[in-house]
Amino acid sequence: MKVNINSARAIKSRYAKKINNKKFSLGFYGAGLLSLFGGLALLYLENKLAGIVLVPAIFTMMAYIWDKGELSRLEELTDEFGLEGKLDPAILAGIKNDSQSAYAIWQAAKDTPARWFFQNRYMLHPVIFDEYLSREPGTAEQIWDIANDLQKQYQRPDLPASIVLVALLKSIPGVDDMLRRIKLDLNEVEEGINWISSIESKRKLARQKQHYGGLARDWAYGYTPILRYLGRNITEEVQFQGFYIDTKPHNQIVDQMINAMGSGTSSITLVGEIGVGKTTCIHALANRLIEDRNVSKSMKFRQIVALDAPSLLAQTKTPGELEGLLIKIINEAQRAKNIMLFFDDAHVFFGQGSGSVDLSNTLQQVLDSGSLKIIFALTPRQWQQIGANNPAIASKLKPLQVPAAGEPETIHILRDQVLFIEHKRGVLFTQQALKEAYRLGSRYVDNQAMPGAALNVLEAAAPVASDGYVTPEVVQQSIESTFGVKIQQSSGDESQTLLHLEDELHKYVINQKQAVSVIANALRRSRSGVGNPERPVGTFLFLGPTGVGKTELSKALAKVYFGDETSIIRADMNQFVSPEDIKRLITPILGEQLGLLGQIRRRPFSVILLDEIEKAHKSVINLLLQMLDEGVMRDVDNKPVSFKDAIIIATSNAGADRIRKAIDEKQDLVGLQGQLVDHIIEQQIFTPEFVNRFDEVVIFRPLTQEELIQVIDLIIAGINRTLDKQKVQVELSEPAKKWLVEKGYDAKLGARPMRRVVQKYVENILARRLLERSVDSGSSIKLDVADFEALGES
Amino acid sequence: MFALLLLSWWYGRGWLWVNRQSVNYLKTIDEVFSVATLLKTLFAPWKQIQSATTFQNFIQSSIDNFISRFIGATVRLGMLLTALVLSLLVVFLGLIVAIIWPLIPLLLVALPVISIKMGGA
Repeated sequence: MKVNINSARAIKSRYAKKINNKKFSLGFYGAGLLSLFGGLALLYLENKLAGIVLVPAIFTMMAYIWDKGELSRLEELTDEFGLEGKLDPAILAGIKNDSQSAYAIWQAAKDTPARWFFQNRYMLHPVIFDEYLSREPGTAEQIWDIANDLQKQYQRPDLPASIVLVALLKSIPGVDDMLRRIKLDLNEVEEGINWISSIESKRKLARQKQHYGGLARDWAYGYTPILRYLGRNITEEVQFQGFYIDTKPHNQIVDQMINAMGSGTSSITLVGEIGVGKTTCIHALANRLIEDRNVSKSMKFRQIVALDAPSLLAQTKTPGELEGLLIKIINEAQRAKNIMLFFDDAHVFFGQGSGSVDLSNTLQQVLDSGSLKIIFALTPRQWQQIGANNPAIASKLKPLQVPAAGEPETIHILRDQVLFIEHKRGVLFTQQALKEAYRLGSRYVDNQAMPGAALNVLEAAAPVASDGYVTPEVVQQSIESTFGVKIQQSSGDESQTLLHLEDELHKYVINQKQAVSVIANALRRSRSGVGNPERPVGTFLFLGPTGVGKTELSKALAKVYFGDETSIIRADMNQFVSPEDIKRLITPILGEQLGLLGQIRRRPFSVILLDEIEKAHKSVINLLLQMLDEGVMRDVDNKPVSFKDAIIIATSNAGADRIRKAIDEKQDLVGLQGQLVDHIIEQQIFTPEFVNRFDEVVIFRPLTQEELIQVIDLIIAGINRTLDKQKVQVELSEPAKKWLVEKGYDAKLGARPMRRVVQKYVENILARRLLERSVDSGSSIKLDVADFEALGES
Repeated sequence: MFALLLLSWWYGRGWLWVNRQSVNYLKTIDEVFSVATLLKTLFAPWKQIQSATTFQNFIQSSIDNFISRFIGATVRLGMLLTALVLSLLVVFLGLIVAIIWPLIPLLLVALPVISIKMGGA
């Protein structure tokens, strides 16, 4: 298979290319104009040469008309004969000789808009084509075979440059690996064929003049001054701004609305979560009613006017006034005869939510009479509440479910929608960024469903793009700053922190090497991208007696890695001891305070400490299973809350005596772990499914007296940090440390009494000396056993 | 080759294309003026301005409604006439273009011949 470069279409393509070349056309048409004016001037002067001078002008005019009528439209003017009959004219013009190689086709396609599309949207660098395409004559055949297959697959009458470029790419050996490196696969690149044709058709649509029913469309319908003032005419918006979203899910819902209303149903309720596109469906309906010639007469050219609760409430002072206003609006809409009302956030009119007013009675009358077509928009929960509280109204509203879009539909919608953001912000979104927006939107934006969530992510990412390209990295950066999470793979300082995490944690926690090690490993797995992103970063059950560093380790982790100690979200599980406490656990906002779920929503990248987990009620424990397993917990409104960026640590004293005994008997900790787990299951402290949900069960062993001296050092270091402002430091002699350990040692309470002992002896002495001004700035206070004994006597 | 391809288009698809432009203009006039809607609603009340008819105000409301329908019909007839005039203009110009079209290439030969003849005379 070869392109016949001597065919009429190939020659015309070359002429089209030449005539549309700016320099050439300037000279060509300039000469034509010169001839025209010259000829007319000679004609005016009755010069006999006028006829000859006018010849170039007529020829140029004919060429211009030919260009408009055929040459510029060669793309549309395809014929069935041969490759040259359907090939993109720009490529056809670029193939200059019979030595047709894959590389020659690439050279011909290099200047087409499709090449820039793939380079910008998919980050497909031209080097891939330059270096890997064969320059052997005759290698074009394979490309045309692939292109023909794609043409059939995409049901195109022509062979546009996009198909040729995809065919070229597909012919490169090992292209899958190359694409994987830029986070793409061939299917996605193939989808670019539809994407670019969708952009082109929208561009054409925007250029076309639409008449939407013409001048007399609304002359037989009434004036609507109140609706004009209080409402938003969606039909007019569509008419003036255009509507360019064309997706299967939207079209299906529009079809359902038209069918239902056309067959007598007066009121419809769109039921869907925020962000699913209920308002977009209304725009799609408005567009269909004024554009589609096949819409039934009863629906054709109906205008949709949206009414929102805040603007209506702002007009009135009392519920009575509001009811009066609503009646006026409804009367006006009924009289006009071409109005369809759309109530967004309709629950407010049914007495639900803050600032709501119950207008059910007025609405009920209109719905009963069926004299006005009304569309309501509600979330599933609001719809459920209306059904429960006001079944009479609910029975009059035909519900149509608007489901959240899946990934392919969301990407499709995003491709349409980003054009507007791009125009507004002067940026360009890549395919990889759209995918990342879907992934991160579904994970972090929990107050909106798809596609709204992904769209919001992209809107937020646009200002972050420094070079005009919104790439996945830009999307990640934007999400990181919005939600305080870490998504981008660790680099630089962070990698160093991760590699030396154990050393850092040991600065705050004495011994407990196993516990420190499992935590550090979990974080390294997560931040290197090895861990499962669909689960929490790590889930650990810390078992051990009081005062051995369980909580300290959690705090240390929050400080070292998550930024500061406030990154720890602590839930004392002894407050959830009955089934009634579940509601408190899953309510995000408790009065003026944030509950556990509210805190994790605000700060998803945190350490979650479930202290004294053994005290929680069994039903509470059961609730935690899904959180530990899938990293998701549902709040009181059944909305998911993600724990996928958190480290979950549950602490328990269960089996503490057994640990102590085993340590006294010098038993190995690793062997003890299995026994201890069996013990707590046998004792029915925890169920096996709960214990098995944790990545690791970590045993904290009691601290020895020598280790308690190190604890004293840590506490003193903390005091010195506080004293730093006053330029004073405190030092303890070794005997003094031992004295304090002996004084505070309690086998059952571990290191916990140490802080009290230090407070009693060290801090009290320091306070006195500072008040007495017996310490100079910049000096160090050295304390010994005698100081403590003196204090004890006083 | 350029002239050959240009002329083959001019006397083939080009002629059809230029005639289709006239038809497109007619369609645009029909759409902009919404001729079908004007005809269907010729005697409909202007912007639904009408009085409710009861037994007591029968005469008054009939007069009101007649006035509303009369205004509607007047405006619509005006628009229909404008559409008709514009359509006739397009048809007339379209016919002229259709006739002149095949003669234009002939000018390329005729004008120099005339010039030469006149110059030679």
